[in-house]
Amino acid sequence: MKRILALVVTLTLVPASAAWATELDELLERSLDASYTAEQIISCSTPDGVRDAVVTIAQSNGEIRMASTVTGDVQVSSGAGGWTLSRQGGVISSASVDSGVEPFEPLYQVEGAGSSDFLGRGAAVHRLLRDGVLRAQLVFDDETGALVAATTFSANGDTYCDRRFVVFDPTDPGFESQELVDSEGLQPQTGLETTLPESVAGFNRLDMYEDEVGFRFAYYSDGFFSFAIFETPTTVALPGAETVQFGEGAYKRTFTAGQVTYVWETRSGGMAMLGDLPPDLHEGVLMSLPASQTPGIFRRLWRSLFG
Amino acid sequence: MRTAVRSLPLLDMPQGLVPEADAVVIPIHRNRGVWVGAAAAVVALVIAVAAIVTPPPTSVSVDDLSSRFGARASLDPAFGPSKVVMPELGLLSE
Repeated sequence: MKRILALVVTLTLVPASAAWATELDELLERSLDASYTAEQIISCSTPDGVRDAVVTIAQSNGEIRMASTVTGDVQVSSGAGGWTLSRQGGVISSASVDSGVEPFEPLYQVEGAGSSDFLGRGAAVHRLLRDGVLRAQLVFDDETGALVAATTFSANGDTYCDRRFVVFDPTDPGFESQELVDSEGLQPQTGLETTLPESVAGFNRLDMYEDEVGFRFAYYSDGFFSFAIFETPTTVALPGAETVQFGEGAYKRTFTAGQVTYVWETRSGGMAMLGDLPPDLHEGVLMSLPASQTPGIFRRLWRSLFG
Repeated sequence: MRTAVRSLPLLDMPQGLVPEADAVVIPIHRNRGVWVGAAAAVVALVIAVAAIVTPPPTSVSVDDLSSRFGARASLDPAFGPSKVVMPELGLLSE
């Protein structure tokens, strides 16, 4: 009898979890297919204070162009593995990468939270739960499928970041999807010797890259939040950083509106983490990585002389 | 006998009549290890001071990392307007 009951439960739960995962994928995929222009407010409550920004967004053909309303001549274009920072038409920084993995099943359970009115338009609200804990609330425009608001939460229910459109024009901005970078995309590599674990605090290592300038990085995701870990031969400069202590190690940290950056020194060089994960997950991730260590005098001298 | 010797007359010789004897160089026998140790200590001190004073090279900037993270994040199924990696807005105005 118990076996039959277990079978029934299994047959009931497995399709249900698959349906949740498919639903998140479908929602996000439809959102990326939308075309519009918008103005978005970002407000994040971080351990180091509030970080705000107001940005303009134009999305078309899977590419998103974002610019600060403060510095309107600076624009970020991102999509399909490309990222370009430009000012007045001139490229300041760019990168292009390829991915070697198929999307995996997100760890999130998606709950419908009803309909709402957003900027005078019909919208659907969905909640994302990981391990039963509310981690995000997403609002999608009914007509276009665009993600018009997203709120992320720490495990204790506190709001981490709130992003919402305050202006929304569902008209296609009409720009042609451009080649974001001229160079060939950085290819993911397998078989690299690394100290980076395959799984960190529920995040899976998806791709690893080795750059021509000598540093490696790995991309981790749990299906919604993501971060990258960099291993660099020298330390990473982080102006204006706060120093925080995790375990016995000291880490330098900065928050921007929606992103956190940590840098620290290890025996073999420098490391950095960039990501959008909520603050309560930071320590668990950092403690799973090579520890922060102050190098000895001779190692510092060696690096100073030879890099 | 001793008394007889003491009673001999003293002769005061005029200066320059008898050439003075050459100075004898007596080598100072000190431990060579002390000098080697002292030199090593000085070198170590110079290295230590240089290491402390010289800042570590910081050739990697966060912008270099943001671009790569931003590019990879754009391939994520969750990519959207809430996932675009933006650099520090304060730095953009510089």
